[in-house]
Amino acid sequence: MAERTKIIIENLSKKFGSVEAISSLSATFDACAFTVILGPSGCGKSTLLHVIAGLETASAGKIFFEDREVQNLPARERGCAMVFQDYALYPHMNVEDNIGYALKLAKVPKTERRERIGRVAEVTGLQSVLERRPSQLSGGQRQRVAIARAIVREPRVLLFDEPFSNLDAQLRHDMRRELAELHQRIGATSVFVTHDQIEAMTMADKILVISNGRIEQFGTPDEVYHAPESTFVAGFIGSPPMNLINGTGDGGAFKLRDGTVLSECGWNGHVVLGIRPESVRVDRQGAVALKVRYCEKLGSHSIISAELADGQPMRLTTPLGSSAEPSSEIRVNFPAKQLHWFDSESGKVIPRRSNGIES
Amino acid sequence: MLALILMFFYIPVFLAFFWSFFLERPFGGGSEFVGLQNFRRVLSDQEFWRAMWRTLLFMVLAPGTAIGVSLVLALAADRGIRLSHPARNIIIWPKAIAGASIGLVFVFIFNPHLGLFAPLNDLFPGLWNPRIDGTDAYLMLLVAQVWNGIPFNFIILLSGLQSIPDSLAKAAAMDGAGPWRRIIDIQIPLLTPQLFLTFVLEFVGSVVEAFGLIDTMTEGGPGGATTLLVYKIYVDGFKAYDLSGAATQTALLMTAVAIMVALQFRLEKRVKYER
Repeated sequence: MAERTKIIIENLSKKFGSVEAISSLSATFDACAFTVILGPSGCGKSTLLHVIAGLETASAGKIFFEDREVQNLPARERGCAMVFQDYALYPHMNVEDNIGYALKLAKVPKTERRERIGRVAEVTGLQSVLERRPSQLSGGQRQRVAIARAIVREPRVLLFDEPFSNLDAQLRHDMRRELAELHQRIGATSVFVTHDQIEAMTMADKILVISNGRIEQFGTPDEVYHAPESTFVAGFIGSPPMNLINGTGDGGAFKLRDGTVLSECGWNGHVVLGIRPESVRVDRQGAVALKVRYCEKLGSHSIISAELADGQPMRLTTPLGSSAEPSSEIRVNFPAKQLHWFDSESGKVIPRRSNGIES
Repeated sequence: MLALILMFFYIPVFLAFFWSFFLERPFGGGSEFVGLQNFRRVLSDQEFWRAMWRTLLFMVLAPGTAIGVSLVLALAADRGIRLSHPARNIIIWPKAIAGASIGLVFVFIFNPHLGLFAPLNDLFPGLWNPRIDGTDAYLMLLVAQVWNGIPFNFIILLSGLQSIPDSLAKAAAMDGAGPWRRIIDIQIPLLTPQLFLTFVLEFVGSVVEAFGLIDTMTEGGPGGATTLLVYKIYVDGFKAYDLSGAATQTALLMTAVAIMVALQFRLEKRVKYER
């Protein structure tokens, strides 16, 4: 078991010239937890990871590993290990030397080195390929070597920079499970960067959603999915993501621009209504009429793309078997308990407590 | 293209070997087959062996130094140290200068009375004089050859360094390797193809290009100290009209170079890897 190390980030900023990649970000990653940093490409998530690793220097702010201040230390003194997106295996070394390079640099005696390499190779299923060069391995094997190389030193902090993005769908699925099991076993504080929300939802203890270098939400997968704190999170998580409908609260009702009433509403003025596609109930006597534009049949369920009365798009998922013809009309209900309300200016959630309809 | 290669490369090579078995008359008018007599004559000539030794020494020292210096410069430029950007351009410019011009410039720079070392000669009279001292002349030739080779090697090595994925250096840094360890363990091994290319080219260049430098700087002197084989062939063939002797020495020189290049290729196969 690795030493328990929590990562504390305080007001961290990173600028590239005049471009601010991370702006004054603060968060605490729990010891031994698996934290996923999730965001679209270019949001600063990889930069954040590289700053934690020491591969980039912070422009301002502090980073602590437990109570040790590390932001000014070079990468090799921080005691983290990292798995890279393109694996970054040394092409001129065989698998054994790739895994053992860090131990060799740390002057671990040869017999102990071999023993530790052997143990890690067993955990990652690489015993039979230790003599091969990286170019003779499959994508999945290379990924395992990269992970083996990271865990062989028994690091206190393990960093992953989109490690599965070069793998095919099936392999990605297998590696997710393997990595989750491995994390259970070694228990190092892990930080995993990805733009793939399925990876985030399935593996994370906590998800840090960021966009434009700022935190949008930091919570468990459940919280992020069921209680998004902003329209960004709502529109980013879920496949398909939450529907976000612009309208106006007027006399206790939520109205579209053309006056159609969708549901009850606790306050007045412009608001954004959020509802997950799977929360929309198809019902012949439903209160809301939708015009079907397209229906994707996926086997287990269907995704219907439709239009509201004022032309705003929305999507809903229906159980197996039920589908709808394009340009036909269906009626649906919006269950009041499944609704999320957001401020149309700031995009922030309007807390449920203040929602008069619920509780 | 093929015709040109045939005309200017394969036919001369063939003729050199062909003539080495004949005794040519200096002013034309027939030749006589003499078998290995030319070889016997050349190989028993002390001058030939001295020139061969100077050539071999030059073939090791000039490429070694030129590549060593280029490698240091390329590593520095790749790390992006201060002023590396303007330096990158400036280092490449000398490539545009002809060998003969370099020779003239270096003759002036190394002039014992006017050049760079003139102040040194004032302090220790007679310390530096390439016109009299054979070692000095050889060194001067070496410096000119090295200087001539740096721009091209620098470009090749720098582009090789920059084609190594950034993430490898980062991975090595995470594994605990400092900058020097990364150079020795990661960058230089991955630079092998480029190092090999520059070495073969420098190697052949040290035989061929040196001619222009010798001709303008020392004309083989003093006392034959800078008479490399390629210059000796020229003097024997075109000044002394010993055409058969020159052809024989050419054949021997080509064989020596071919053997050494072949050895280098064998070595390269051993260190080869796939990215």
